[in-house]
Amino acid sequence: MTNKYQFAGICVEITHIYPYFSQLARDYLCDADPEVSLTVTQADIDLERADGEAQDGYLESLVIYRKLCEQLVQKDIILLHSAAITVDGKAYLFTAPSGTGKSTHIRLWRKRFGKAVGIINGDKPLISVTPTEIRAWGTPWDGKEHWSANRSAPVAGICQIGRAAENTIYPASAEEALRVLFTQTYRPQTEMGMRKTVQLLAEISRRVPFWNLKCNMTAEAAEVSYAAMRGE
Amino acid sequence: MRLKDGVIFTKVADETIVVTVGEAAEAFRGMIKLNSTGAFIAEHMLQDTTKEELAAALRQEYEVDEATAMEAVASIVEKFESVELIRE
Repeated sequence: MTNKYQFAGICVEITHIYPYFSQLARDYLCDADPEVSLTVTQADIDLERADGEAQDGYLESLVIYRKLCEQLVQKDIILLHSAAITVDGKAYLFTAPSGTGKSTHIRLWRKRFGKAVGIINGDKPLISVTPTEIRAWGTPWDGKEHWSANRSAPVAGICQIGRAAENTIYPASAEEALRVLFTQTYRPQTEMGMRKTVQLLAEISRRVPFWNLKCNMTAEAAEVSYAAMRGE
Repeated sequence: MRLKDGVIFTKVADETIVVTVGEAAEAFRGMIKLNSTGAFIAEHMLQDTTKEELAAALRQEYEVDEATAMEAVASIVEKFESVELIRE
């Protein structure tokens, strides 16, 4: 089956096999002229299968994201493994190794600040870089929480979460930001794609404030990160 | 010796960032930051070479004595050896 979807403002024509992806990405259908097209084969899906447990439809959705990322990087768009939320029209990204508490921290923000907090994507948002703006975009690849919405906002801060008994937050250098972001992005397989990825991440780390948060799971943790990232 | 295939040099501001794809990425998936001298040496390791040749090339480009050049070369070679990016 072939459909057109819009991801990070780019219309993409996708030819694939299983209905799982059509269902997953139904909020992203579009009807423009595609700038990018990609095709998934059963051989691609078989290669993706590592443990033999996952269903083909799910594996296909991973193949699609991989192929999409390989192409979008040439349009200055990259994946950043993070949870992206919005407050007052600005996006805040939280990144951490799996199991460190991204979802927990976002639940704390929602509990403390209520409906002011909107979800962009809980796991794999896309980030576009232009001379004037760095923007986070929703995608249907939304992790185990299934937090996602087809919306976008300019990125006002990125926060790396680590656990600690007390809540503290401090700014990181662009160099540290680049090192962290590099571990959380998709690694293109081509030299051109990888080179572009480094350039885009360097742009992001230079232009977006990057924070190190050490936190526990109390409401105060949300207040500390909110105050620093919002400049309040 | 030379660098494995897939070592990529990207200039960002006044630094060079080294990352990997393909064969090199099987050995090392991180990022190495180099200053201009380090990048000069490492980029010469894309072709088959020796420490002596690297030091000589460095001395042609920068005004440094032999001991300093050899030391700079040894340090960069060691850096790439430690992450298994060098092919004998």
